Amino acid sequence: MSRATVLALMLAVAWAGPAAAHHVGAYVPRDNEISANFKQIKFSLQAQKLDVARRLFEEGALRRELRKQATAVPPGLEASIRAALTAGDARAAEAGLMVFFAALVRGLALEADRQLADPHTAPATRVASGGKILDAIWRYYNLVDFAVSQRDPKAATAVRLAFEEAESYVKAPAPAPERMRPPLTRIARVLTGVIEASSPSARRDS
Amino acid sequence: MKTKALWAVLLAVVGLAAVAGLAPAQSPKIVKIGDLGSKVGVFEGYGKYQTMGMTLAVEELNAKGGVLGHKIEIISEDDETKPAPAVRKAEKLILQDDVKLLVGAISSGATMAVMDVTKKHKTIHWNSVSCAEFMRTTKFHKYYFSNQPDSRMQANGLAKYILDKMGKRVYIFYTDYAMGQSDGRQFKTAFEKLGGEIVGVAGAPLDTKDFGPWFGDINKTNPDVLFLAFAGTDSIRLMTQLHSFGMTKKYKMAGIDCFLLQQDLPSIAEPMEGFVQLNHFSAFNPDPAMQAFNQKFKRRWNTDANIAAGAYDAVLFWAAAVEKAKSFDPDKVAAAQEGMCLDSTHIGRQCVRKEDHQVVMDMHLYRVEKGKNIPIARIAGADTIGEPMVGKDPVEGFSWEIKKKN
Repeated sequence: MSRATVLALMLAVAWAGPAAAHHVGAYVPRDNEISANFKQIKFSLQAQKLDVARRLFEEGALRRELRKQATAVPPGLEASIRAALTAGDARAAEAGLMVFFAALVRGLALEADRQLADPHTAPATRVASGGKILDAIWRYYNLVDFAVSQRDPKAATAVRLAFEEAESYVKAPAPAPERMRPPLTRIARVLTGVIEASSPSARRDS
Repeated sequence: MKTKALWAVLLAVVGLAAVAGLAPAQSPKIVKIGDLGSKVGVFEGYGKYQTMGMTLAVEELNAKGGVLGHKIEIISEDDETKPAPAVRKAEKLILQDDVKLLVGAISSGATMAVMDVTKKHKTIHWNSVSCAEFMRTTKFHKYYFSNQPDSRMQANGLAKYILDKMGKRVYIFYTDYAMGQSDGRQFKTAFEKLGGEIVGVAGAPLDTKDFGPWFGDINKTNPDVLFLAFAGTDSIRLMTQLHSFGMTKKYKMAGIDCFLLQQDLPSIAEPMEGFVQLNHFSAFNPDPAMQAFNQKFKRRWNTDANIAAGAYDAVLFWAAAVEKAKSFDPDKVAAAQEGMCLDSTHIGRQCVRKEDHQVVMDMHLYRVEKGKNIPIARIAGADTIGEPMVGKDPVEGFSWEIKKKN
C-alpha cells in the first residue's frame, strides 16, 4: 500500500472516529421534532431573537410534550420557562429547558428499567428495547449535558458514565438485561437530584 | 408671490427627498463572519466558548468603527460535531451568507472536512480548537490558519518537561483510534528524540470498560511516568480505575490538553490530583495577559474563559490583516496574516508563522490541584512548534517498536 493510501485511510479513520464514538460525546442520534424544536429555541435565544424563541416555544413540539409530561415535571415549569422567555432571560430559560429534559430522561430511564425487569419477555427482546430507549435517552440528555455540567459537574459525569455502562451491555454477546438496570436507576436517581436543585420552586427558595 | 411659494415647497420636497435618499447610504455597511462548531451537546463547552470569544472581539472592534468601515456581524452554525453537517454548514456560511472569515470547527474530523470547503471557495479559515497533526501538514492550504497548538506542539512541550522534571522512563497508554494514536506517536517521537526511554506502549480498544488487564504490564515495566492519551469519559473511567489500584500514587501522570475538559475536573478531583497537563490558557494562571483577558471575558459573560475563547484572537488577526490589506480579498488577507504579530491576544503577544500559518504560541504546563489547573511551567512556542512540514506526511517512518536501553 502506498504512503498516500495509508494516509488517506488514516484520515478516513480520523473522520469516522467521532461519529462512532459515544465516549467522547460525539455520537448523536437523529433529531426528532422535540429535540429539533429545542435547538431552534436555543439558537433563537442565542441570536437574541426573543419573539421567535417565544413563538417556537408556544407553537412547538417541546411544549406539547411538556404538557403531556405534566405530572412528571416540577409544578410551574412551563410558566417559569415562558416567564424567562418573555423577560429575555436566556439563562433562566435554558435552566427551565434543562429541567424538562432531565425529567424526560429520568422517565425514560425508569421505563427502561421497568421493561428490563419484565420476566415474561425474552432477555434478548428486553435488551433490544432497552437499547432503543437508551438511544432516546442520549438524544435528550446530550442536549442539556453542558447546562447540567455547569450546575453540577459530578452529576453530568455520573450520567455519562452510567449511560456508557448501560450501553456496553446492549452490545454484549450474551443478553443480560439485569446488568443494564443498575446504571439506568443511577441515571434516574442522579437526575432527580438535578431536577430538585434546579426546579422553579427550588430556585424561588434559594 | 405664488411662484415663490411654489418654489419654496418644491425645494422643501426636494430637500426632504434628498435627506431620505441619503439615509440608506449612511446606514453602516456590514461584513459577515462565520462561527462553526458544536453548539449543542457534550462539546458545547468548546463551541459555546468559541462563540463568546468571537463575540467579545467583534464587540470591541465594532465599538471602534468595525473593520474597513464595516460593522462585523457573526453568523453561528451548529455542525453537530460531525464532518458531513460541518461541510453543509460551511458551504451555507460561505455561499449563502457570504462570510469573509470562517472560524471552526471543534472536532478535528469536522475541521479537516471544512478545510476542503474553505480551500475550494477561497475563504479565510481559522481553527482555534482542533489539534490533529494533519492540518498544518498534508491538509494545509493557503487560507487556513491556526491558533491551537496541535498534537505535535503539545507533545514536544510535554516531552521536554517530563524528561527534565518527572522522569526518563515513560509508558505510553493510549486509546486505540485516531486521536489516541496521534497523541501517542507524537509523544513517542518527541520523547525519544530528546533521549528519553519509552519502556512500554499499549492501546486499549474504544469502549473499554475495564482497563485492569493492562495494569499488570504497566507495573511490570515500572515506569517513572505514565503518558495517557485518552479523552472524554474514557479518561474519567481510566483515572478512577488507576486510582482504585493505587497507581495514581505510584506513578507520575501526564497528558495533553484534550485528556479532560476543565469542566470535568471537579468531578474527578481526587484521582486527578498531581496530573500534569499542557494547555495554552487557564483562568487560574496568574499571567497578566491571561488574567486581563479572563476579567474582560468574565465581565461580559459572567463565567471564566477556556481555551476555545482563543477564537477571540482569530477575529483580531483577521481584522488587523483586512485593515493592513485594505481589502476583504482572501488572497490579500491571507498574505497580510502571514508573519503578522499582535500584542492584544488572549495570552499576550503572538505571531503567525509564515510557512504553515501556525501561531507560535507559548504554552503552560499545569498540575491539577483540588480540581483546578495550576500553572507550573511556561514553555516557549518557538521550542515546541517544530519544523514546518507543509505537504509532508507527519507520521512517515514512525514505529511503535520499543527501543531497549542498556
